[in-house]
Amino acid sequence: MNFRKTSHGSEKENIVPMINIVFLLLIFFLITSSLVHRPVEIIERPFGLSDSNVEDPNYLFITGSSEIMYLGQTGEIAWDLIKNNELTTLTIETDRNLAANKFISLLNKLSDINIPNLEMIVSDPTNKPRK
Amino acid sequence: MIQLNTISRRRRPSLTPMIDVVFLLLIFFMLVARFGVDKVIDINLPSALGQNAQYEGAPRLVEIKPGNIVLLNGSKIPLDQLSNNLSELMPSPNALVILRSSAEANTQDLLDVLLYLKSEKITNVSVLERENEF
Repeated sequence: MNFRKTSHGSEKENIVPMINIVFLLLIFFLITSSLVHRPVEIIERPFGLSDSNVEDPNYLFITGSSEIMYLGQTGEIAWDLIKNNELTTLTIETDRNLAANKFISLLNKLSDINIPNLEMIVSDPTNKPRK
Repeated sequence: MIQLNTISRRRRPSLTPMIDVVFLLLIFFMLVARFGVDKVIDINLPSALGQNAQYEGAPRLVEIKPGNIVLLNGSKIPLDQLSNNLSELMPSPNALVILRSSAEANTQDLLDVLLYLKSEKITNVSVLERENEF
């Protein structure tokens, strides 16, 4: 009887299927992701119930230390960009720990720019950590 | 003696650097990608800031304190009792309510009060600005 083993050890693994999958994943992430300049400081979104989804994202970030960021710019440059871009929608992502008075002042400043649709990003209250 | 051996093997370019770059790109996009749709609430600035509002009836000044506590005309009440107390002071359901934030309150406290009032169908709200903070 012939008990000779067939050895596959010397054969090279075919890496083409793996490369195909990696390329497919890369194309998927390239298509689905949109690069948004975010502040370095982490923004903790406020909790609130909402049925509306963000449709035309045009983000204005406000950090807990009341720094604003729009299109990667901060401070007065960001304000100038908001004024000059003639926005129809502005999506505000603010930190829930920001002082309410500062947020009200910001809204007052935005009301002078006359942006028709202002919206604020909220987190689902069910994700709220229990005290 | 010179050998003129013209047989030359074609060397296949190495795929390894390309695969390295592709992997790096893949890892980058996997890390920066965010999935899921953001939920938003609409902010109606003219009514929120009371530009078109007219005041009638008894004083209705709500001061927002941290931790779901509010002061209605200086009296401390829990947020969930605000609607009942306000309705006694309102000549009509559309009457204006004035909100003011205390220095300690944060955006979450303000949003909680605004969403509570909206859920209680009190939509004519004016928010006072203490000073120019920005």
